[in-house]
Amino acid sequence: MTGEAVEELGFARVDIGRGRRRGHPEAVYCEGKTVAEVVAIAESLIGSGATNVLATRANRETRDALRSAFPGTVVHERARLVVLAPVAGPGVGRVDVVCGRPEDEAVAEEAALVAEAMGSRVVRRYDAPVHDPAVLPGWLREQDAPGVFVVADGTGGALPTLVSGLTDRMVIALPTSAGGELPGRAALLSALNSCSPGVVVVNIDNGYGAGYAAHLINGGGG
Amino acid sequence: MNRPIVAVAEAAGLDADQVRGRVKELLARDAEVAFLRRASAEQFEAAREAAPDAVHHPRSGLVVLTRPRPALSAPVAVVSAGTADLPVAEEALAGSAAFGLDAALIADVGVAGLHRLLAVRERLDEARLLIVAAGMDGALPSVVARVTSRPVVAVPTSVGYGSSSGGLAALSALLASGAPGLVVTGIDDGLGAAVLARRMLA
Repeated sequence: MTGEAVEELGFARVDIGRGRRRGHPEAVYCEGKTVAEVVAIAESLIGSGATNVLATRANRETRDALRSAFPGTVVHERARLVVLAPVAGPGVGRVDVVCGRPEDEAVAEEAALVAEAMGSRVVRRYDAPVHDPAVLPGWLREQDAPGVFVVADGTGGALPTLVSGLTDRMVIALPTSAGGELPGRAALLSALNSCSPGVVVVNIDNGYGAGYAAHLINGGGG
Repeated sequence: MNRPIVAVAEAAGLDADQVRGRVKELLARDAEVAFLRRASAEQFEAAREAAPDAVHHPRSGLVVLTRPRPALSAPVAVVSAGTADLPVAEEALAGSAAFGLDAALIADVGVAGLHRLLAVRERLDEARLLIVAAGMDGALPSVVARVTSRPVVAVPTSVGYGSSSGGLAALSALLASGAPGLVVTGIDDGLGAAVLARRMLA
């Protein structure tokens, strides 16, 4: 199979060459697809030999269908993420996923699971002291610096910038839509306009994109 | 009706004659303090012909047209995130001082280096009101509101790259801030924060 290989399903042209081209198989974004379509795409990917195939934003019905269709499937309810044909990763480097509010955890968890499924070692730090920034430096020092941080924050608050300002590591800001009007817009704009160099940004609630990028930065790209 | 607190006009676009006319009109209102905002050096010279006591603050362009008010024991700290925010901070500082408030500047304590802010916590706590100017991500006022118990007036500034959209990013972040005890002015409105300080404290 070449990097250009495609399987025609009529409703989809499955990019089964992606694993060869990019090192990781195509993920299935489940929103807007029927359960049957998701299952068929997953069959195509797994049939091509792909492992750790991710189905993101899977609702309960889709998750249940994938669990029945593919033995060994791992389902993560809170992150709405399904890992098909899972193979334990080597746990390379370290990605720290940080947030400070319970409502940001689902999105943070998606980033953590994606980086983990791709082969990074992940440390979850979901108890950042966002209500008392004065103790943040000490909290951060409780652990050694990872290869890269993912910092989820939906407040338009400063958490990604604050973490960046306290370490020599890169920070991927992950704005979440949890809380406020125009959900996530303030957090997105704030992160895009971070005054601390070394902060890059993914889209609102895109835990998948944050986890993927974190794994590449963490040295998982090759 | 009580004597007005403030009379204020923008200098933008006014020629020397118009400045003189506007200044006379402001002084005729007999407010505690009269300001001309964002005045160039030339506009200040014209203003001074109509208001001999006028003082120009060139970084912000603020002209205080009236004599200083009696000093009040009402400490206000004006905090700036970056040096680039100083024009806005200066407007808040000079405006507060014009009302007689005991205003002090704490400059360049942005959250890209949090220790700078934590090192001045005592000075923050000594103020009765904190005016905090920040552009870009607009992060500093939220952090200040969390490390002190004083009321915080956040002034988003138009400092920043593209998507800061002339201060809209900072304004949005501040309006969405979860920090308690924080209110927000319009973009670059340092003088608005100063007038608020006067209303609250004197």
